[in-house]
Amino acid sequence: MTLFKALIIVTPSLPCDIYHFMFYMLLKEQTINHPVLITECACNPVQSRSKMAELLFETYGVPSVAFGVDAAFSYKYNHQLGVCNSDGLAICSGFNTSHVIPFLNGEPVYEACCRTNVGGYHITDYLKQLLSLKYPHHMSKLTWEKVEDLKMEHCYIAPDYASEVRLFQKGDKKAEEKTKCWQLPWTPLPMEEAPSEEEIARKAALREKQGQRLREMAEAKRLNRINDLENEIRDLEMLLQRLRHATENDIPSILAKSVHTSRQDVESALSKATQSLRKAKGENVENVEKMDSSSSEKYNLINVPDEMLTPEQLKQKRKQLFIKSTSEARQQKKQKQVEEELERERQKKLEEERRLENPERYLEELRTKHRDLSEKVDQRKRLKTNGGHTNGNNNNNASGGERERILLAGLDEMELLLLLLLNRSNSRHTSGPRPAGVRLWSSSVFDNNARGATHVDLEWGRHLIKIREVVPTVVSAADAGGDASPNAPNISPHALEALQISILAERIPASAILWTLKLGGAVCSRWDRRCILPVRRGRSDRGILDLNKQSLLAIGVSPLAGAKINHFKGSIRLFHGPLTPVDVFVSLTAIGDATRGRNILASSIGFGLLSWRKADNCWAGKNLNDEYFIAATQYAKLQEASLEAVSKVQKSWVKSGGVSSANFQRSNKYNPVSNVRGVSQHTERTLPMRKLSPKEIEKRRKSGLCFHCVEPYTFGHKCRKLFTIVATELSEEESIDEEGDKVDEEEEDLAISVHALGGKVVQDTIKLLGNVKNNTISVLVDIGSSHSFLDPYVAKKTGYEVEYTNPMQVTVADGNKLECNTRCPKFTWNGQP
Amino acid sequence: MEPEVVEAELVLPAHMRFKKIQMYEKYPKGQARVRWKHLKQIIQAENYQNYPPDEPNYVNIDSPPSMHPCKRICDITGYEAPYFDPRTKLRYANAEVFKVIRSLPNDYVQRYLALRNAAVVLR
Repeated sequence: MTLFKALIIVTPSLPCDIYHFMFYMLLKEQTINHPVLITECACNPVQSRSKMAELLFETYGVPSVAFGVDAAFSYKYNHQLGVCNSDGLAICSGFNTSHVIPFLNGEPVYEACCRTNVGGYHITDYLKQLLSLKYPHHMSKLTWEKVEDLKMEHCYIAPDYASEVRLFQKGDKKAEEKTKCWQLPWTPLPMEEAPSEEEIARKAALREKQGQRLREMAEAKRLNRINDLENEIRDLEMLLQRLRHATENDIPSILAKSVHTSRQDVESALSKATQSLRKAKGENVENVEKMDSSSSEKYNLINVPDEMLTPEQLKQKRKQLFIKSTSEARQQKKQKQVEEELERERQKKLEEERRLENPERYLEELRTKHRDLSEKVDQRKRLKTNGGHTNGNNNNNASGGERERILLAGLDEMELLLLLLLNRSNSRHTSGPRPAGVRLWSSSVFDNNARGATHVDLEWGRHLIKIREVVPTVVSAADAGGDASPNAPNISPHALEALQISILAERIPASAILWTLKLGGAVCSRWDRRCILPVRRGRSDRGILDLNKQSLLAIGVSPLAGAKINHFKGSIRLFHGPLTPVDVFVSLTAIGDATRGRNILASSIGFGLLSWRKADNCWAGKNLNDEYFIAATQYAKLQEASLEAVSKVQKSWVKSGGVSSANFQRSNKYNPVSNVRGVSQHTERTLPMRKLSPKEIEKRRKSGLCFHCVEPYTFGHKCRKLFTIVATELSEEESIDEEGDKVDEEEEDLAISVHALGGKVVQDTIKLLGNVKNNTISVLVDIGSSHSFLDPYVAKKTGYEVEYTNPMQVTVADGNKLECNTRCPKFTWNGQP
Repeated sequence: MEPEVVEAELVLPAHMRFKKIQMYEKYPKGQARVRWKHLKQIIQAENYQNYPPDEPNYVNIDSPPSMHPCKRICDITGYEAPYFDPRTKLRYANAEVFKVIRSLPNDYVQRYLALRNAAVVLR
């Protein structure tokens, strides 16, 4: 049912949810007690349809369901209103796909219909990709919905792409008028907030805590060390005492337990330990004095001449020299430090004196000094940023940090700008690859005045006026309104430029984006070619689609699509000759027609009879109950208003397989038993309907005759001729029967002419002598037969193998049917003996 | 819940009389919803190759790819493009566009090419 209100469903992720909402809106608390008509695309897969039916039957308890193709409904509706003829081509552009369905005598020809997987969605997607490629920095702003809006609002169809593009290429006023500009709101760069008091306090506390812990750890370590050293000293002292008391002989035995080798060794170890203990305890170690006292004995070798020393002593002498010089240097340094300290103190005193003397002047001096210093720091920093590294090193100086922050903020902006400049085809800033960095930014900012007012600058100025900072509004470049916002001058013109998304020829390079769309309606650019295809196919299949009679109906296309219609006409004529009359109509409304056509059918009294019940479907294993279809057809014939729509419903149903059983399996239409009844499916293809003109149809309809045979049409009427055709169509090509005949296969049904049967030679028969494995056979050529037939005797005689196949019926000239159940696939013969 | 949903009165009651099986019965809490088949799977399950070729079905009503040569349109500006850059494989309209093309990072070049199905796809 189609009482879909203009309400928008927010998240219709599943069809189930849509039904949910729809039925709730329609019914509130009642149960569904009427049949439901569902529209679908042409040749919907059985799986999808069965799922849909299952849902409706199982979940909603719908009494019966009918399916139909929306394009057919739409076409019929427009036909009834006289918009298009009974023969025509419906071009249905949808959200994801576009269909082209030909109509003959008001009935859809699904054999010749054609689908292209291009729709409004693809166009939006294309536009989105183009824009996001052009404006990579506004990727987040370019949502699918926003682009869809842009497309709906601003895109249009170019009657002639080439000339349209040239307009933009010239870049004159006309192009400027067509250029659309979407001004994004200026958002201030995220400022680094100064940390609050609490934050600072918290951080300080944290640091303090950490420091405390470290100090504690160090203290513990120190205590440990002191403890160890004390223990060592105690051990060593005990050892020494024992050594003192022990005799000479006992010494080695005592020392063996320890690591020391002699008494001196122990003593030195003891002194070392005591020294380090003292150090650990923080006592001042008066090394220097000690060294002084022992210098004479320590450096005993220095004053001795080299000649008197052994090589070992020489080495020691060198060592002593080195030690002596280093210790002297150390002492000198210490002295210097003391002197410097004294000097500083003196200076401080001097300054204090000067301050007291003239405090103001002193302050001034200090300030200048400070300025100099900070400038130096700045310079150093700028050098750093120019190198491309800005690692927020702002702990030196307050003003320097500020400067750096600004630079950092500018860097983002500048990057935007850089890309923008790269994208500006007519900009002079693109003359070569530039290192991304402040240099470009600063040069373009600061050198602007020097370069003079070029048109770029003028543009910047204009955009400056044009800023609207409240909401993202689409601004046409032409209407440069004068509402300058008060804080506009604060914003850098580059930011303004960078925040613009202008739609120039964007919609035009996308060859797909050529249609104005209304709610998912779209037609691809190759529209014309696509719909010529079914015309051709239709010709080869049935040879009846005639462009002279035909009208083309575009469905789902906005009425604004006139330009494309002309283009389309032109391209049809390109294929079919310059004078081909083509009538192209646009459906009355872009989307409502299918709904209305559907409503006519759904509201007709007999609709309930046409739809499927669940019980029908539960008829497991049986074919789509064909009786039902016959009934439906009859009903349809009685109901003039819904005639075509009904036939479409069932045709689409049968054509694409149909839901047959409770398990929703595909019905075996090619089962010969059930096929006797599968009338509707073959009617349009094989019946001689093509000979009926619309006038004749009208006449028959008036006098109540069947369309197919000339008998009067009643309930349960079966066209006799129909069955033979349908049945014979099953049979396969080659078969062995009587006399051999080579025939071209023009007709589908197996037929053999009288001449062939009787072997009679009349003037229009061709009789040849053929040669098969040195046997001469007579060959009758008959262009009225569909297959070649062979006498079984011939096959036997020549030794060709005969296979058994499915039995098929062969209609012979006198109207009788013969059974044929063998074939001889390998049989060959030579024409020249 | 979003305010606009509430505003539009789209909040439906959990129990609906017209439903034979309620939502909460079909999908008890914690149980995942039905997995929907992809179009590819559906088409494969239909076994269209077993059908007679002259009968229309979802697969064979699909239009064949266009045999017409594609129009030469500049990838960046959308103008008519008489030139072709052999390095990036992009088409361009004039010298300024050429500069832009040559300064584009490879990533962008590939994306531009992908827009017209000309990108190199490594598998």
